[in-house]
Amino acid sequence: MSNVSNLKETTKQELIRALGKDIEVRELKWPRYIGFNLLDPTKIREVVKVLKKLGYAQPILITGVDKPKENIIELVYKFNRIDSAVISWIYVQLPRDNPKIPSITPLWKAAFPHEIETYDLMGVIFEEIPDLRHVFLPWDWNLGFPLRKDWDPSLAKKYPWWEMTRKFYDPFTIPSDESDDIYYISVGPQHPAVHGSFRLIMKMRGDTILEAWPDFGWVHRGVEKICENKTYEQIIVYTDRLCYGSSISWNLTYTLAAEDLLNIEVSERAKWFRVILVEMQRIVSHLLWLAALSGDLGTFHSMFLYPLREREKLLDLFEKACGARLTYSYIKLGGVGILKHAEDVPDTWFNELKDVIQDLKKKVKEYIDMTGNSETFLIRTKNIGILRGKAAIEAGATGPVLRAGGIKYDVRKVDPYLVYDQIDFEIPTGKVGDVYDRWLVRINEIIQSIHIIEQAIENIPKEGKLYQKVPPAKLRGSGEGFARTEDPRGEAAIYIVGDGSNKPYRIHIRSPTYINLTLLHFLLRKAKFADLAAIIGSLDPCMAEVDR
Amino acid sequence: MTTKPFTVMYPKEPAVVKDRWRGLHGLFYNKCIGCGLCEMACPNDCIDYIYPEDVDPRDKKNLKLRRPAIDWGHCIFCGLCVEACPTKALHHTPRYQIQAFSDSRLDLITTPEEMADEEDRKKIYHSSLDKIRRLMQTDLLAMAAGGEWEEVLNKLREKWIALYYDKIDEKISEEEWNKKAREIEEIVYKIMLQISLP
Amino acid sequence: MGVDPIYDITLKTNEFVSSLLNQIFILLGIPMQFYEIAYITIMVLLLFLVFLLDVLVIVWLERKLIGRIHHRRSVTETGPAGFLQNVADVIKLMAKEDVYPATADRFLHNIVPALATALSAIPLILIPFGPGLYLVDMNTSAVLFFAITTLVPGIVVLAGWASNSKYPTIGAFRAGLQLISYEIPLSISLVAVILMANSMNFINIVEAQRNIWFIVLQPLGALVFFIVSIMEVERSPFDIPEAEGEVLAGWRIEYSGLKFGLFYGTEYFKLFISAAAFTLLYLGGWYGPFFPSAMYFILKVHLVIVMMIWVRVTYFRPRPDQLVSISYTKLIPLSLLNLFWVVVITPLILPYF
Repeated sequence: MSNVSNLKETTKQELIRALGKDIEVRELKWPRYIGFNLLDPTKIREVVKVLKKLGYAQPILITGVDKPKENIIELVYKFNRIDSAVISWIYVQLPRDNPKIPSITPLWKAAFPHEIETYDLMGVIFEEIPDLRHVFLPWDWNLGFPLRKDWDPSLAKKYPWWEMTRKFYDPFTIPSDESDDIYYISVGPQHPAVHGSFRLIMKMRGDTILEAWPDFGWVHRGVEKICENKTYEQIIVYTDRLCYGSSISWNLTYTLAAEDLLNIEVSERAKWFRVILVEMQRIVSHLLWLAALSGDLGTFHSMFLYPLREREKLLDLFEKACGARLTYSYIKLGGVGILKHAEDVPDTWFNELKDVIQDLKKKVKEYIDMTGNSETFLIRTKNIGILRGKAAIEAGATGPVLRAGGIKYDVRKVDPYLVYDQIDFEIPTGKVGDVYDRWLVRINEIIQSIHIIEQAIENIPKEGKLYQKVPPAKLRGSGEGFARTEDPRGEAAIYIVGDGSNKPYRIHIRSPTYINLTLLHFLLRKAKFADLAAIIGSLDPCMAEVDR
Repeated sequence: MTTKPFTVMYPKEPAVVKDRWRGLHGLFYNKCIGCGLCEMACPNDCIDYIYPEDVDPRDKKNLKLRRPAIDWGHCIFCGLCVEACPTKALHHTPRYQIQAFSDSRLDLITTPEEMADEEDRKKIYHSSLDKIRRLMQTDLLAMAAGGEWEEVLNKLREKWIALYYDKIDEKISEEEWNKKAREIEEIVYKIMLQISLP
Repeated sequence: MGVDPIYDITLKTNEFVSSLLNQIFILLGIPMQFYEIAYITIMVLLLFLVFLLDVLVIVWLERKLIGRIHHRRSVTETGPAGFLQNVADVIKLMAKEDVYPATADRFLHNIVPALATALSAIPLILIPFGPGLYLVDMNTSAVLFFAITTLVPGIVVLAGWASNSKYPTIGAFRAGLQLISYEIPLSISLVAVILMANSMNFINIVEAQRNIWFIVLQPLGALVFFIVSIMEVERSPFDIPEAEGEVLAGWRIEYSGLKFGLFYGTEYFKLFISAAAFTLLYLGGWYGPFFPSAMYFILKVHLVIVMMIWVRVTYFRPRPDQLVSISYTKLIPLSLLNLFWVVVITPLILPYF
């Protein structure tokens, strides 16, 4: 931990030296993070320059919190590191009627999606940003900013939704000075390659893609605003449906953040069991990804159905434990449980899990044989969609996409949560950063997850209550809660601001796929049309979590 | 290719459901104490309470006689209500098939008598109008309708409840209550037929 | 030849049709010049009918076989073991509304499915089914066969063009790309077979295989021809014009109802015809143990179709430009090598023919 305190000291000294009186240290309740109050919003770029020089890797979250009582909007910037658990928090306060701040996108590309989202939903204007527009709301939205506390929900009915698709289907008229062989095509919201519902506007010449602009917002449900009206226990259900392919993982992220805010402790047995569940979910999510990728690359290929068959066995195990196959709501505040009086899982469940895992080890070898050793797979995935090393970090990638580029960054090792520091596992990385490497990383992650589950089944303590339901009086909290986990798709984080009541004041969800999909703008340059399916498939999109 | 296929030939073979399956709800009518915790726990506002016949809803002493009615159309089967119940009266059954396929949204809203597990409390409503008579005390019909119908159904509900209070206070006779309530219920039934199943 | 039921049936049908026609002509007083044309028309129609029944079996076979390879059960409801599923599908397609884009070329849009079906089915008459069971005995029938099948991608391009929309146009041009990929290896392999058999007539080619099949003498050519057949039929893994992940049924998108049904049918016509060509050229046609018979021909064609179905679920789809590079850098050199091999060994084995 001396690394952490050294880093904190260095950061503090450098920032105070560069900005003098405009910045002051803020006390945070987490010992491994460091916080600052920036008193002059226009100096944000100097702060960012210093942090970049010190080696901070990515801005993982930029949250806007609307505080009408104090007449300010507070922006919270969080910057993480690849080699250590330290996160630098920068708090900036902007006047509510004119919230303007210089954008940090020209210095740091990875901040673009966060800034766009804050403008879209909260109304903070970032100056000198390349392209300030609405992303989840329609492009000509002028009916207020939904996340503000004084926004009237009945305004949403006034927008002419039915005309939207007609207006925005073909937004680009071909400029007259472009040559004849360039055309614009919309890989529209309904397309099997896009796994959900998002739209890519592509400028093409022949079979080559010249430029691509992703367009999100087709599945936007306003989860963050809804959660401001639900109690801490009821929000679990919404986190399930953020990404239904990895729903326990989101349950866990939210539960860790809420337990952080409300100061709730769980037993050791619950922590080990949570690890087992999350690793099972990682395997399930990767099997689904493998099936989807194979289905896209070949017509009705066998590999479309074989991973789903193994996934069924794991889903059966989930059903035996918690009663649902897809949206579990299983990891809750106070442990892991579905009924109040801590119905624990019987020992037979663990034995069945062991059998399924052993069988899965053999099957993974078969999958590698059918895909990785198949020449037709290799020509579709080698040297396609390359994103490697520093470019990947700059662009904001996390998860398997970043690890395929050669960077060993996994939240479970860098900033361990639950009991990951007591478990022995490796982090697979790739070399080149193409689609093949991302496939390899995910397959190896399945094998590593199997290894982790085996260790957890041996080491799980037999005593301890799995679920201790929290009394309602303890479910009120004020302050902040923050947790980040390693979702199968990347680094997921949830930031909660409480105001003392039993409902959160502001909850902000960092979805890894949202950032990963903005990479498409870079990955699809000079690619062929047929590579679209491979590249999007390799980023593993799950649109429900992108749009929240 | 040589082993038995993985497919489960539903509906010829039944789908195997495990013990803890969060299916349709069942209610132990006699164990329920009408505390109100299940409604507070529901994230989707699917639960509301019904008093038995001839019981005055305005009297605070009658709170323990009320029983939950659940709208299975909006329910997400998350299990938070079952978890909140202090007497374990509300529980999940392994049922996953909703009984009737029909055009009316009404079949998806259950009354506590239909959910009840005890034989002497269990009652199946063959007439939709009878079921509506039980459900008019709740706001589930208005919430199931949604959209423009919600305000209409809320106003009808207010009228019906005023009539109900009059009947309990004995300001009007049984036949008059029956006739006027039936008029309102028929309008509600027509509205519910308009709304298609989700 | 009492052991060959197909021959017997054909003979009896022959006699029945000719006697029937004779009587009708005499009855109605039509001049006998038209007898020949009427006779041939009826025989071709009967052949087409039998062919349609066989296609029904092939479609059922494909769905069941793919299901079994996927470790699941496929079509099970309609008819015994799902046999009538295709009939149900055709009825459903006939009942659908004909939706087409407003800016499409109406005339072409209506005609193209019929043209495609006709062109795909014509090569059927050139195929000899058994010893003495053939409709046409031309001395260039093999070349004419492939000449007609080459016209089909032209119809595909026309189909995509007629829809006047972006995705079909992309699909249509990919079909053109596929045409230039498969044409040359196909022709070179065909030339190798013709050289060895010393004739361009299908019947003579099969006769030349009565002692040993060409697949044993030119295995490389057979492999190349098999791959190229799959490319020609536009079946997976070479279904690039209609690749579902990218262009969503490519040139077929804007066709609905029976038009789509006709395209679906043509895919299986082409499959049968390609498999038949492969059998005739490399697998010895109707020759088998004990005695030559049309039964062996049908069996071999279905075996080849089973192989094509198996290949479908095992390999991924290459990109269009990779397809062209596979063809020009791998298939053409292999077929030239095969040609060279044939030129060297044919004089050595000619005494044994």
